[in-house]
Amino acid sequence: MTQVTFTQADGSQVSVEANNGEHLMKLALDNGVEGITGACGGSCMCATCHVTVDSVTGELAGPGEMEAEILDMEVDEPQETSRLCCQVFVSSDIDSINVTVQEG
Amino acid sequence: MTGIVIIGAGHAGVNVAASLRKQDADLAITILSAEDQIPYHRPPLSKKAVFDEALPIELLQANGYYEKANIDLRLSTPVTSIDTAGQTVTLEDGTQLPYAQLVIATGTTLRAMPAPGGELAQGVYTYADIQYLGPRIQAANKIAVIGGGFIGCEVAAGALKMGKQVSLLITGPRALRKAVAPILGETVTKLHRENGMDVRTGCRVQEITPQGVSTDQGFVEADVVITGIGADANMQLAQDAGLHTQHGILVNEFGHTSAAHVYAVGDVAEFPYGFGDNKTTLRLESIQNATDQGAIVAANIVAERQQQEAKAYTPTPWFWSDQGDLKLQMAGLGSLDAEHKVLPGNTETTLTVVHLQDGEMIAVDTLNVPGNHLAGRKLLEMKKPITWAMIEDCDFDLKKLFKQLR
Ligand SMILES: Cc1cc2nc3c(=O)[nH]c(=O)nc-3n(C[C@H](O)[C@H](O)[C@H](O)COP(=O)(O)OP(=O)(O)OC[C@H]3O[C@@H](n4cnc5c(N)ncnc54)[C@H](O)[C@@H]3O)c2cc1C
Ligand code: FES
Repeated sequence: MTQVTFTQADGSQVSVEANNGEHLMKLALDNGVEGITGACGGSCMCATCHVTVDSVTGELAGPGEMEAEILDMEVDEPQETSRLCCQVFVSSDIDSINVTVQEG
Repeated sequence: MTGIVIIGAGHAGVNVAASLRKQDADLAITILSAEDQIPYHRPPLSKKAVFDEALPIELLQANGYYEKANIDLRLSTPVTSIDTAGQTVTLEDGTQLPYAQLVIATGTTLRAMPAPGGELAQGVYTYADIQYLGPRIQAANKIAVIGGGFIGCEVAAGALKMGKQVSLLITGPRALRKAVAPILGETVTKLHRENGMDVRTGCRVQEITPQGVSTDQGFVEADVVITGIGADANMQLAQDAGLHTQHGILVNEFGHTSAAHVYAVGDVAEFPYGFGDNKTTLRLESIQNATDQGAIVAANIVAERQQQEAKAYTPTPWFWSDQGDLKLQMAGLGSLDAEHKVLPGNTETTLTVVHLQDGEMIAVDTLNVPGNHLAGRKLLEMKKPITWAMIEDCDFDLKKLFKQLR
């Protein structure tokens, strides 16, 4: 189990326990996190699932080629910690992860 | 004031509802769905779900969302008629629901296979389809897929990846004939063949039997026959109500149909596209269209209610298709009549094709080059003229060109 916390645009937080293999976009949708649309269903096509990673306890793999390209091109102001959360998977290597939902 | 009624709970209908709710917490919103499933994503059906024993379903919104958002989602509740004068819709049991604004988001239906025995061929279109087809694909050895469009190619490639013996039967000269630049369609056809798919082009289906498909190129044995020969707009309701239709329900750039207070959106809507001599009307079957048009229609409903100005829908279309290990991505609206130029630097399994019309870039098709797809999409979204000379000057680097022009 991994503790995942989303900080929404208004500053409020949604915290959930997640199972291995789940991605954060699905978690966000399942738990009604504001600002995550996930239009492409996690196909790494739409960038409507942009978050910044504030902190991780454990090991999180970096973005793949496709995701990096989207972040570079699609997101207006990508930050060092930007991720498309449909590509961020919960695993036993991660105890907890905190992310902030970003626009577009 | 009465509320909003939405017919159809696909990507478009649900997105209109969710966008409306974001803008107005109190608006009464009802979605009437013919299907019995909580609304779900369709793209994974033909790419993953039908091949997975667990038949996973990916919901558009979490199960509890509709209740929490106070959206009255009624499943298994098809609408049988619309009365635009009385502003009501009628349900199967005769119930009439009044609306202040109506949204028709009824999508498309897979075209039935016209050949004898056509009813033996199964489509992959709804979750109910994959519930039926999934176990049959698992059990099958030989699979025939009729139709070389995106869904046909996806299902054929997925079944091949499972280790099935797959025949793909296409009437045209190559896969994806109408949808992408010819060279990309040819490349995809070749790659599927190299992977061991029996792709038969120029092939006419004569009859489907429990043993397989008889064609003008001989009999193709198959345990399961799958069809993907295109889809038609679900516009009977609209036609019966006297709305203007052509290939879809005709709407203006704001999503208004020919009837007051009635909008159409998503796969079923035929909207104006392009400028000047290239102005036309078209219907798009894509997530981009359902999502973006949905957001515009929601905004315009709010605008109508508050007597504000409506926003026009001027999309840069995009689409993707995963076929086994091939990732196709299309940006813009390509044309077979356009000039097609290939960017240099491709491998056996990568390709970037630029569509040029009157010397200007109108679309970019890519195979396994996500960076170029995105750069192309961004360039097209700028709505500035992009010529081949400009691309050449940037060493054929679309990303560099985008960053220069941005
Ligand atoms: C297998 C498959 C794969 C796809 N892959 C991709 C892809 O990779 N990328 C992409 O961009 N697009 C893809 N698409 C297309 C995309 O799914 C559609 O463009 C999108 O679903 C359109 O949304 P919609 O809401 O307009 O219509 P739909 O999703 O078709 O929803 C319409 C709904 O209205 C309901 N309805 C119809 N008549 C009535 C009535 N009288 N009363 C009540 N309800 C009614 C229907 O039952 C249906 O549930 C794919 C489609 C399929 C089928
Ligand atoms: S959901 Fe579309 S990129 Fe993540």
